[in-house]
Amino acid sequence: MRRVIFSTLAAAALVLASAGCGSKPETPQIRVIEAHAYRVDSSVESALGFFANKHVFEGTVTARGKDVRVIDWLPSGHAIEAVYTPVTVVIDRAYRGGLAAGTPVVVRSLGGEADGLRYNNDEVPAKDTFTLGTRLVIFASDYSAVESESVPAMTPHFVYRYSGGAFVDATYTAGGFQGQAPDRIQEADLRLKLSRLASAS
Amino acid sequence: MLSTYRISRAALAAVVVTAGVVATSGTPAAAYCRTDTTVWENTSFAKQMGVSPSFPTTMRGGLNGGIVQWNREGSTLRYNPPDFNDGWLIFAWRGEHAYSSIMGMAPGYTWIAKSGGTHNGGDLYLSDRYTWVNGNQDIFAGVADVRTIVVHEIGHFVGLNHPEPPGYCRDGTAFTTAERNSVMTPVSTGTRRDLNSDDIAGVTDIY
Repeated sequence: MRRVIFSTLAAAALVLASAGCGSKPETPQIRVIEAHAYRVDSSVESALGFFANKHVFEGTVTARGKDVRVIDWLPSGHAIEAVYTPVTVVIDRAYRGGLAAGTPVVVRSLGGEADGLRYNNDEVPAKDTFTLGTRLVIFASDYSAVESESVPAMTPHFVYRYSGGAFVDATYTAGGFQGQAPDRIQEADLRLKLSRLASAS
Repeated sequence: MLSTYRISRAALAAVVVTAGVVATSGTPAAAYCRTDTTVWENTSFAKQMGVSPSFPTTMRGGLNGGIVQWNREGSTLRYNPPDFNDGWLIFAWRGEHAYSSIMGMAPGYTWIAKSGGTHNGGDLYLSDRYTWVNGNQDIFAGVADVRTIVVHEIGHFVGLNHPEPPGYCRDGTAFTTAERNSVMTPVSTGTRRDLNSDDIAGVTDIY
């Protein structure tokens, strides 16, 4: 009986081998998630007046890491997950929040692929917003680690990128609100408004 | 690119007519956007969202209204009212009043697991950092209208994208007045609670 079983297994193996089975490594299955966030007007006045900005600062991009998958377990027992590129921004000047100038912070540049997950999100800044050396003004919420993170990070609310003496709205990959051109403000004008924001905090 | 529908049936009809004997204007009657979207895999049964029992009772009417108004004559897509039972996590399509910093500043956040050009469910989050009302919203003050946000987010599950060119909608069509006034174009203040002709054309053409 045992010999019959072995013979059967050997025959099956031969058939599988001749069919090419087992000769190719399996291609890992990539899950794809499409995220959509309700879009918010990202003009300068909107960014300055947004109710949930805990940290507002001007900084410079100094490093970009490899994409990482993040999982946040909610109180309901349900997990929310995403992929982002960790970007290090060194604070040049802080206007709100307890982070001092010179402090490196990790900013989540959402979107990317890691650990078998492809995460797409158009309602976030474009990846090239975080090119090394770029000066940014960032409005953000918490600076803390979610369940799967080992270091604190922040998801930006609004991002303005320095370009030719002005800061330009880079909050969304897709551009300005309701099809308009991205808002633009002269560097000195934005700093003045940010200083007033700091005074009011 | 898993699935990009670059032209609506209405727009296609205009193109077909233009290619024939009769010339027409190039602006489609309905130009809703489908860039990078997916559709429900199976419409042989009505979809039902499982919602956490902790979901605030004051928000339930707006949630239901934002979902079921996508049921339209001429479309096979049907949504049942949400189910707020204890087993909500076993639903493939879920809704929750919660916040994760991954969501950023958005009052509403949709998460769709794609499989080719289709999906079987996903998650809808309404951020608990906002004060939710059944009336005019003021996003910058942290006040959001339930139905305005939900009807927009459900539009993503239907298979519609933000129609604003050029970043979101990459189908090459103009940003029409109908698109500008559709629920798929977000508003920061006031309300936008009801589907317009463009949204209805979208759901009836897709399903």
